[in-house]
Amino acid sequence: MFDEKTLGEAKKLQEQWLEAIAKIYQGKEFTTKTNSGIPIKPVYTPLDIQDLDYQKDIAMPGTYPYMRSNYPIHYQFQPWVNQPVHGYGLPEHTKERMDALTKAGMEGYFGARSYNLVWDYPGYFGIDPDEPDAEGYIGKDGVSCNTLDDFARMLDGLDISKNNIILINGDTLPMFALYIAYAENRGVPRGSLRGNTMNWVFTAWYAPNFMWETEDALKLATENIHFCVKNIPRWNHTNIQGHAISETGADAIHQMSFCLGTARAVADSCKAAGLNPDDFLTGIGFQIAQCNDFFEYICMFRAWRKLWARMTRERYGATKPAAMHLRTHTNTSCFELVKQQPLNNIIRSAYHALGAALSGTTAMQIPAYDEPIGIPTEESAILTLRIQQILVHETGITKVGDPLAGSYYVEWLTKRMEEEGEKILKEIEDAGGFVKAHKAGMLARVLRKGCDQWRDEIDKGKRIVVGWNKYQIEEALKVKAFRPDPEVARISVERIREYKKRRDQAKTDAALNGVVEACKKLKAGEYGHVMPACIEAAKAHATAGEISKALRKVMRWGPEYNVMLKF
Amino acid sequence: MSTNGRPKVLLVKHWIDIHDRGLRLIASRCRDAGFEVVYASYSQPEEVVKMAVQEDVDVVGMSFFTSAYEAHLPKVVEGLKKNKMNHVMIVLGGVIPDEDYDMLKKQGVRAIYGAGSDVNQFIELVKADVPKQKK
Repeated sequence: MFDEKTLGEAKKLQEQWLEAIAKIYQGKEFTTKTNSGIPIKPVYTPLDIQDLDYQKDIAMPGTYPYMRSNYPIHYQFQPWVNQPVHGYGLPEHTKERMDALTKAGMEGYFGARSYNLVWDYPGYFGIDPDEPDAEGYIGKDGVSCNTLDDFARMLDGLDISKNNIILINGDTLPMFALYIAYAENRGVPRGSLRGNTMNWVFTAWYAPNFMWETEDALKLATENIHFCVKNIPRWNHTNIQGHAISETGADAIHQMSFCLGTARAVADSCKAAGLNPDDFLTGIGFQIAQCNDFFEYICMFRAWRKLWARMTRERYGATKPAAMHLRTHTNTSCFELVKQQPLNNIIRSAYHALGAALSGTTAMQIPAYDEPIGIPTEESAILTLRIQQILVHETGITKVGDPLAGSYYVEWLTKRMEEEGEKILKEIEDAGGFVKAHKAGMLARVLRKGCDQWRDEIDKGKRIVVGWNKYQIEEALKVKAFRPDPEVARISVERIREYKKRRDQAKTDAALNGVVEACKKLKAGEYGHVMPACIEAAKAHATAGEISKALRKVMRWGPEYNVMLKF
Repeated sequence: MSTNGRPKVLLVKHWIDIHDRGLRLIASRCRDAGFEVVYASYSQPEEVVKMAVQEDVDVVGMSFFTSAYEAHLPKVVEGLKKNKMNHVMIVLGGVIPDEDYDMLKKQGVRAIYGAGSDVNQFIELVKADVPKQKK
């Protein structure tokens, strides 16, 4: 990176600096650690990055290994996509929030907005509102939308071939099938749809969960990808949930490595299913948490782009740049937001968002400041959008791409993140791959330790959280929790009962049986049947919960259903 | 109190998923304090009662991140009564708006721990009150 003369000078200046600090601070130690535990010095110089190779390690934005950006020109051409998560109550309530965000200026690439719609807890887990398990949760933390009629209530009037519809729910296939059936009933061909499914069947890998058993989860995820590659090539089928890993206790290095490990398991499965990497890799995205330790998370992001590009090209033989690009949806940190003096959370989130923007993220969601108290109000939801808009239009940070490149510290730390990431990826590989590593408890151990350690540091005052363990004030909480309409549950239950009454039951039953038969084929390793069968069932007016139950007749749900641990 | 004299705590959350960071922490701290811990997921409140009876616990801690306690708590309180488990201490935690605290305490909730609560307060409460609980 530097010629002999520069390095010689740097060495001399560093020696002088060391002498000066020894004299002024009398031997006091100034080395610290990043949040991930990487030891750091108080100052970096050319000496720290002398071994980097400009072409191999840094290069230009938009060129392999894409560390600086996926694109040669990024925010100067198009800023990141505003992707605030929203959803509550009945579908028409969620539509109100969608309209409010649209009116507040939510924007995406080329004028296409991204409606990042979140389902309620029953919807997440394939439970219909009229089932006993749904009681108390209907429309509370997401939308209660379970039928073709519900999709119509939420999306009629919106151009769904132009805008992105993002379906945030747990078991993915049933809700996606309903959406496709709804679109086709409206006359919108499936091939023109754009948006995202989560395909998160693997979040079950991070915690005891109500989700598919691991091997079956991977089969279902692969089936969804197989369907999208053949039918909806533009659809972003898979969201690797870094935010969940982070919220569950991972530091920056582990968030990145576990995500890449997960993506590797998914990609291996797709390749084994006979899919072409250039086709399926373009639909895989990463949901990335940007947390405290500003620089470390920026460096994580840069290293992540590089590791993904290398993995896609070297391991999977990707040839299209789009297949090597790290598609990212930033979801700024939630666990670091606190209930005490909640307005401070706006400041915290703004810094997290600034970090994500300096990292070159491609889309962003910011939690609302009142989330430690309840689900966001319209006002707090729009404030999260304002953070993004102020960043884009007022701070000037979008004028130059990867503006921190060349910083001795940032380049050094990016390289360290890359090395640490490779180490963990190798550990996962040595443990027999991600599925085996998880089953052996490798992830859970790391995540739980991370969680406990974080809180211990706060309780012992080693980590300061303003307003919580320092600068506390006596406060009466002025922020009122948002509450959806109390009638939501009753209406939702009535609607689904009516929906079931009106349909041709024999036709629905036959279609649901088709899902079961398709699952048997999937179980035997035959792809391409389950998604079409789910869409048929949706068209025959099966509900999301019913399609989910049909899947569960063959695909194992659990095994940690109703997990009980004793210590 | 279990036979070995250690308080026995049942910690539950509806459909445990990745949102169990807080409850996990309490589980570890209870373990470190020498309590016996049963950590479980449930789908219907009746299962909480069943587990409390089966495990003969002294404390039931329930975690919520929506207002589902409105539906679940009365069933747990009622179920414990029916099973002559009135002595069991019920505590709640998670995202619970302050304005609901009074209503919940009137229903028999001993304490509520929102975001950022001091875990030691809960530990101390269990240590002080469980030995006094009459079966």
